[in-house]
Amino acid sequence: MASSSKTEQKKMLILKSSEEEEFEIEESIAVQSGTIKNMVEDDFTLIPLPNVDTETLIKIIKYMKKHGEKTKSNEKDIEEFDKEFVKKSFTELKELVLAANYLHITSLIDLLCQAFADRIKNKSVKAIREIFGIPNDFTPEEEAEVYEQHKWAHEEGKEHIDHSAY
Amino acid sequence: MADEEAKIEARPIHNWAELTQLCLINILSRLSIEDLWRNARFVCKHWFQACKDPKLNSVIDLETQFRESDNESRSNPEFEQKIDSMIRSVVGWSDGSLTHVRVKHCSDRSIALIAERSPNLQVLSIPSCPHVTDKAMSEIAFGCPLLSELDISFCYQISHRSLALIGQHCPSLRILRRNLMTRLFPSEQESFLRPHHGDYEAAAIGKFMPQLVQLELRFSPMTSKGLALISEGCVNLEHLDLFGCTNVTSRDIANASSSLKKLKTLKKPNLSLESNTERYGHWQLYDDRFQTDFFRI
Repeated sequence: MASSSKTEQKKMLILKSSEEEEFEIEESIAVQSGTIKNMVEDDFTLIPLPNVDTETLIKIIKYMKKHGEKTKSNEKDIEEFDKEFVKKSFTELKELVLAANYLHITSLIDLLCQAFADRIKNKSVKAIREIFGIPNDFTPEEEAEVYEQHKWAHEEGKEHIDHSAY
Repeated sequence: MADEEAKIEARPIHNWAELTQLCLINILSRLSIEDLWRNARFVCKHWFQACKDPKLNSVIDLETQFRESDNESRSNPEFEQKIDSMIRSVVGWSDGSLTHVRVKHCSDRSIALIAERSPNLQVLSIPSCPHVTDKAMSEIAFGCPLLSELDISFCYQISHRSLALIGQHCPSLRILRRNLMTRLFPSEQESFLRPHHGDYEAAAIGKFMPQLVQLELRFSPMTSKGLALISEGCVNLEHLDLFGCTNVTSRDIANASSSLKKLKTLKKPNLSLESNTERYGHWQLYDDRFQTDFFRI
């Protein structure tokens, strides 16, 4: 992270949420976002983010600020921050990962994807659908066929098709 | 300097279903194989397709699925078919990205398929595959030049010929496990008890695998001749496991250890009930219990 010396004026950017709210942030911190970095290289200082709502943008700025001050001594501190950061509702995480993806903040994308993976580990098909709010778009016939093709994945005697889950 | 507002197209991406493929693959890549194959795959059609991404199919690792005690019950045709189906599917989806395979009880066909489609294979661990032959292993030798780890323990249709070919065509091989069993064998395995077979294998290893770092040859019937060939040829060896090798004497072992300059650990043939693994900082030369030639055939 390139950080300007204290004697120089720190270059500031303005990020604008989809709800038109503006937030000032140091350029050196904001360029953790690949998307913002590109725009800065094209000389923009006011950066509208029509895909990110205010609430989500505030969280992302908080993340970038914390990770912007990363040094060798505060690694544990940042780990704790990350742990707390993902203790959010599923909807919030969803908004965050969409925004992080759009903004190309790699470390945040990885953090959020790991949080999602942790939530669906060892969960059944039905449970995963419920957590993600994903409808089953297999017809009963398609589902049976797919299970048949992948018989090798199932333990002998265990039935994984839950026909009540439509 | 203009305070220009960047012109960006507003593209609403609030739909979870539109979550980019990369994100979904990222999430799925953090799941265990069981979660992927048994649950994630069947969530919906989008996830079904996503699970076929090569990034999610570069490793086949069933090691956790196999417990030692299950060995007997699993060696039946149905189980082998299951393993084969799985390998066939994953190799297809891997699109050449397969790097690690750890299975048991697969067929010769599966190995040939892996050899054909996996030029990036680094680890092949297939202990207890009684139907895998030299033919399929020769295809591995030619098809997988990046192989660095190989386990063909308890595979009784694979001979020293495979070891020679692999040694010649896989210059990156660092780890070789070629352990045999101690318990009573079915008759086809008896030939493996003969010392000269052990020596042929040792000769192939010594001649063609100078870059080996770790070697396991538990219960090999090789004699002092075989061990000498290994010590001459495998100059980079750091870890050697000779547990159960009853045809080598402690003198043979002493000679081997002094030839192998980089040796860090050596498990001796010691069949007593005491601990059979000893680590040597300084080499300890003689083990009284093994002065006997009693087991020489």
